[in-house]
Formats: sequence, structure tokens, C-alpha cells
Amino acid sequence: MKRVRVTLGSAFVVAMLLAPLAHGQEAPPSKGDPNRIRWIRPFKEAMNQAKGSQRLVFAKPILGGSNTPKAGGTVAGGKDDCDGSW
Amino acid sequence: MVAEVLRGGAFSDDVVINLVNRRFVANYYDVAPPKNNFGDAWAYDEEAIRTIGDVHGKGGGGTQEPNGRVRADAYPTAIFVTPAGKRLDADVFGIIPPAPFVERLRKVIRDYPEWFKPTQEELEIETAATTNPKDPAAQLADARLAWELADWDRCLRRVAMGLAASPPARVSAEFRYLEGRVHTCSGAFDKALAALDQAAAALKDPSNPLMDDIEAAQARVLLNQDKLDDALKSYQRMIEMHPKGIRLGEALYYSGLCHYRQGRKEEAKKLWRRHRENLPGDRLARRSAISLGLPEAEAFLNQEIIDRKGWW
Repeated sequence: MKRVRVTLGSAFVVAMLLAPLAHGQEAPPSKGDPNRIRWIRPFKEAMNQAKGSQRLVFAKPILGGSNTPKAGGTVAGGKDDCDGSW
Repeated sequence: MVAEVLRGGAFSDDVVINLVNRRFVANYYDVAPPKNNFGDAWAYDEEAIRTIGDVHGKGGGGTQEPNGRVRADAYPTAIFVTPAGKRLDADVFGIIPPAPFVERLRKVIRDYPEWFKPTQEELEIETAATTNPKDPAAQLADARLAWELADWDRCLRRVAMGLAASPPARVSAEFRYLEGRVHTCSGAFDKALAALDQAAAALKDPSNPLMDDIEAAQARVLLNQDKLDDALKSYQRMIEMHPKGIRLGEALYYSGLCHYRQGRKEEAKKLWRRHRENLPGDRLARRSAISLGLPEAEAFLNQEIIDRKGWW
């Protein structure tokens, strides 16, 4: 049976948090993006907040890596851009 | 054939995001130190590993069979930990679109109610709506809250009560917008479109940011119905009318998808490239990047998996 390998799609989180707006990019949303998970890091701080609010920690394991393209990197794909972070 | 699929796709859906933000403390962490990680492991977190323990699975993700079935052999996509550091037996695995993911979150909420008590603010909003049934503002506040909690019945109940209270046009438009979103999530697309048409008619002002939300919601339903040309027109209007709106990324990604599904792959790539390059921090930019970075057949598989199984 032919199988398809599926890789982790977690690094978009990193992209959302790290990716700066470079010169020439379109303006950021005028009032911010209200539809974004508020990731609390490091884990110790998340646990502190969970204790304070009596909530569960929702933890997402990733096999990380930067998702932000390096200067001159391709739009998508390659070691320096997207790979390694799924 | 190798396919990269957005295993975390559900995390970029606003219904999921709202519920997570309302009811959980969210954290992500790298499971492996730099020497064992093919990325840079900047989020490696020993405290998380000490508390949660080893997570088992294939480092690269799960396995999908040709029939679309996804085997749960990857790292969990969500793990739940009590404030005392106890890991619950409730891990979520696999490539999981928003609809089933919300169901999994609801199950955790049902099974462990002690961790999901409403906040004081939430109690006050609900109480105000209950004690002031003819106050449109009170009904709208609770309808918004119910929407964020993915409580469809409560949201529709507040919408009905609010509309019965003869609200101003702007408030009426938002009630209809919420109604349309709930019906979309329930798969009642005709009802959704009817409500969203009423929302647009009530709002009138095309420059109002709520119109951007309404247009996006309409386009989403049209996309779900495979009315690709109509969806594309909506997305193009969004790009023209709200070029700095918070839904620009959504319009770029999905208009690319509309082109792609109709064989206009170069047009699709232009839009995805623009999305990826100009809005790298957008919640859907990752999906444009994947669509660009994959061979065409795999990009198609990627879109099929994400968009045909309960994507809202």
C-alpha cells in the first residue's frame, strides 16, 4: 500500500510570533489580529498562569526550528525556510 | 510521494483560537534539544519535558494512507496538563481540522468541568443578558461570548432575543453576522448565506470593518459549496476594499485556492507568494507557504486534506 508521509505543522506558530514586517511589506492589521492563540512561554510561566486561573495548560509539542525565511531565502522550501520545523 | 500537511491547521482557525484563548493556558515547546533537532530548537523547554514526560511518535509527524485516513503515530498535537502538573489522558493526535478539534476540546471541557468555570466577567455578561432580555447590547455581548466559547445554541438564542429587541442597524448586522458564522459551523450553508446577506444589507457601509468579516464569511461558505467564481469575487472585493484589513491574508490565501482549483496555478502562486512575502506573520501565511513549496500534486493533496474535512 502506498503511503504518504505527513510532517508536523507546528512551526507556523513560530512564524506568527517571530516574523517581523520587513521594509516594503504590506501594513500590519490596523487593530491587530484578534484571532490568534495567546501562546504563553516558557512552560513554567504557563504553569504559573494555570495555577492562578485554575485552568488546564494546553501544550503543543513541536520539533522546532525557525520558520522565518533568511535574507535571500526562497519563498518556501529549503533548509533555511520552513523545513525542519514541522 | 512525500506530502507536508498542516498538522497544526486547526490552530489557525478563529473558532478554535477563540475557544483555546477563553478556556486554556496555551503553550508550545520543542521536544528535542538542538543537537537532536533538525531545526534550531529555540523553544526547547526542559521544564515542559520534566512535567509532561516523553512524547512518543514519529519525529516528523503522522502517516496518511491513500484513502485519507491519518494514523495517530505522530507527536500529540495537544496535551492537557492540570495546574498541579498532572498530564491528563486526553491527548489529541493527528492532522485535525477545526470541526473535530473543537469537538475534542468540548470533550475535555465536559470531562473535566472543574477546570472550566466561567470567569467573573463572563458570569456578569451572561447575567446581564438574562436579566435584560430586551437590551440589544446585553444580548450582543453574550452572543459574542457564546460565539467565542463555540456554544452555538446559546449564541443563536441571544441573536434571536437581540433581533427581537429592535437593535440599531450596526448591532443588527453583527447579530446576523454571528448567526451566519454559527450556521456555517453547523453546515447549514443556505441559512448562513441568508443571514450574512441580511448582515450586509443592515450594515450598508462597505468601508466598515465588520463588512470585511461579513464578506469573508460569505466567501467561506461559497468556497465550501464549490462556488469558486463567486467566492473569488468576494475575496477580490475584500482585497480592494480592505487592503489593510485584518482579513487580507485570508483573502490572499483563499483567492489563490480558488484559482488553483480551477487550474490557474500561476495566478494562485502569485497570490500565495504575495501573502507569504508581505504578511509572514498572518495566521494563514503558513498555508500559502506550503502551497507554494510543494509539487503541484502534493499541494493539491494538502488543500484537499485541510479544506474538505470540516474547515470553517
